[in-house]
Amino acid sequence: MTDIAFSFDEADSTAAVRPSLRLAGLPWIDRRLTLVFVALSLVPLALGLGFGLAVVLARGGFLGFEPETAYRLLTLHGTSAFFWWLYLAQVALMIALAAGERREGLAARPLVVAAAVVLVAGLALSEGTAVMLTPLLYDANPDLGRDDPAAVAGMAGGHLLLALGLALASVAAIVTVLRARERETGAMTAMGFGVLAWAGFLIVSGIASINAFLPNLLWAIGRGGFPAHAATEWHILFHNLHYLPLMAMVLTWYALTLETTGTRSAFGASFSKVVFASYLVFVPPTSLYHMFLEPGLSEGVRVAGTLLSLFVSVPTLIAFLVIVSSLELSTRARGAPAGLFGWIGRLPWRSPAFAGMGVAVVATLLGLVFAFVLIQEKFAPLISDTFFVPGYFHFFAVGAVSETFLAGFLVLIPALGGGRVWRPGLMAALPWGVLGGLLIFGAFGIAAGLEGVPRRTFDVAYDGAAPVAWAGLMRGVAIGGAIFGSALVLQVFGVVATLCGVGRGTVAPRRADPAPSEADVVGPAVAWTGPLAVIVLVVAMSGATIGAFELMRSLPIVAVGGHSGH
Amino acid sequence: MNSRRLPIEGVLVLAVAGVWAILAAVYQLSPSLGMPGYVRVWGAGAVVFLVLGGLLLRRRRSGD
Repeated sequence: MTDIAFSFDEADSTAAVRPSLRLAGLPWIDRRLTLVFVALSLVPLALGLGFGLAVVLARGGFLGFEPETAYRLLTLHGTSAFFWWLYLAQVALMIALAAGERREGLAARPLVVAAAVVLVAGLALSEGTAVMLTPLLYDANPDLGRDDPAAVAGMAGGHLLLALGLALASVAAIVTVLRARERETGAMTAMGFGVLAWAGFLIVSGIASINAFLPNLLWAIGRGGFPAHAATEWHILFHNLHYLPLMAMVLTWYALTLETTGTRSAFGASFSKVVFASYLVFVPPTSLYHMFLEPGLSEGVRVAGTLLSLFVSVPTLIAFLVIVSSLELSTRARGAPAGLFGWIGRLPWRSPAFAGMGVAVVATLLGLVFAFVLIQEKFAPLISDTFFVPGYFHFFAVGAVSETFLAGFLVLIPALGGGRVWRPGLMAALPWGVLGGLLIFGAFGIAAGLEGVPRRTFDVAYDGAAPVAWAGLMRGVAIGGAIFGSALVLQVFGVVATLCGVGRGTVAPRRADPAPSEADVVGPAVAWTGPLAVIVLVVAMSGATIGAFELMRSLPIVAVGGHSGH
Repeated sequence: MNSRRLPIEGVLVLAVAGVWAILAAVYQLSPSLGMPGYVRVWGAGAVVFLVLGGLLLRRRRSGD
């Protein structure tokens, strides 16, 4: 590992200091620990990608599997990618950002080591169970394992170990940021506060995981009755799992914006803290929409759930506005060309990290458009068990969150390991390949869902009784999935190559270009892009909802949802 | 450090704890909702954020 000479004394609080500069100055052990988590997270990502490619090709009719094998692949894909990749990556980013807040690095290092041990054990248990025993899907549904309690125990045990590992790492992150102080004021930085809020939320989600999976485990080992309310308890955890990656994504955007452009929030640190806290404020009130498929839910609760669900994207939209407006103000102050969107061309699109973040922002907005169709009370029962769900949520899971985390890794790895990004030109282009594939996958998948194609049934021919259009739509899904999956495989290879030091060279970390002061900025009226994007988003949401209603009213059949949740 | 500055971090986290506690109470006191899991999770979350808010305020005091 190449040591990079850097003293924390250089990182004064008044200048915009790139996160990579802070990370490069961390103690050797913290840099190693963070890289261990980066490497560990790439294992389930690679597995999830491989299983996902097999699934999507089978859904398009290009591959054929026995039903049990197909469900096993689906279980492995979801467990690897949705649980283990997204949460191990969060641990890597969280402990890096926490350690970067404190000149001495991590404050509770043994907890981080313990977390690594627990998480490796949990990953092995989850993957082993999904490979060898009855496939229960990623929610470890005990109803599917009534005849195979060992499968229920293995899946629940894996998820519980994940919760324990996340809690250990989160406590270490909290202790670290509580002991960190900004040099001049002694206050907590916006990033330090964001990490604390994020870590607290991870701990609560661990509690939700215990609430969901401990009854399953106790039943499976003969210490309790059958978990009759497993679906409801899963929904509570699942709601948290919607917000957590998005909160992690937004915090990573803040760090990447400073890293790649030298820009900090134009609205100040205090407002950023309010934005980070708003995620936690909006979590519980917006949870009701997950219950729309419960048959006994009263009409009043359904109406309340629909109204509250309108707030579900508020924190992400505010963070989007802050980042885009700050970038616009900063870029214009540095002499960007005139015109409404001319400043966008001045952004560092050749940076792999910035390109990944840019694609993530676009994918987030696309995902939000269709998420609002799904969470409406009248629509949820109709499309929750159709391919509409994977059609839209891959915009979030892949385009938004995974691209952001990989972009974060492309900053972390060179800063911690002293190398440079493998083939940066290619790595800056690949996110756009992912987005292109996602657009095809999403367009065909959403259309297939609205036409009634079931979500988890691999053979949708139904002995020739299914509408002719279904097979064509699913072939489009497979082509799109193969494109974004292939681009993502190349990205993962690039991250691994960067991690392994291919193309290693000494790269001196440098202080960011100073962000323009408020006096340098012509005026707030010049930053119109963010607000305009939100207006376009609201119009698109309304259009998508109206279009979906009209399309479904014109169909000869109606797909009635079941009880799986989304 | 200016000791009269609003301890924004502690206030924000305690506000979060308050919202979670209220939601837990609503679920507990509304039998028609019938979701005890929500009471457990949101209630435990309120305790977690209450502790974090207390730690933030204590940190602030120790820095004055």
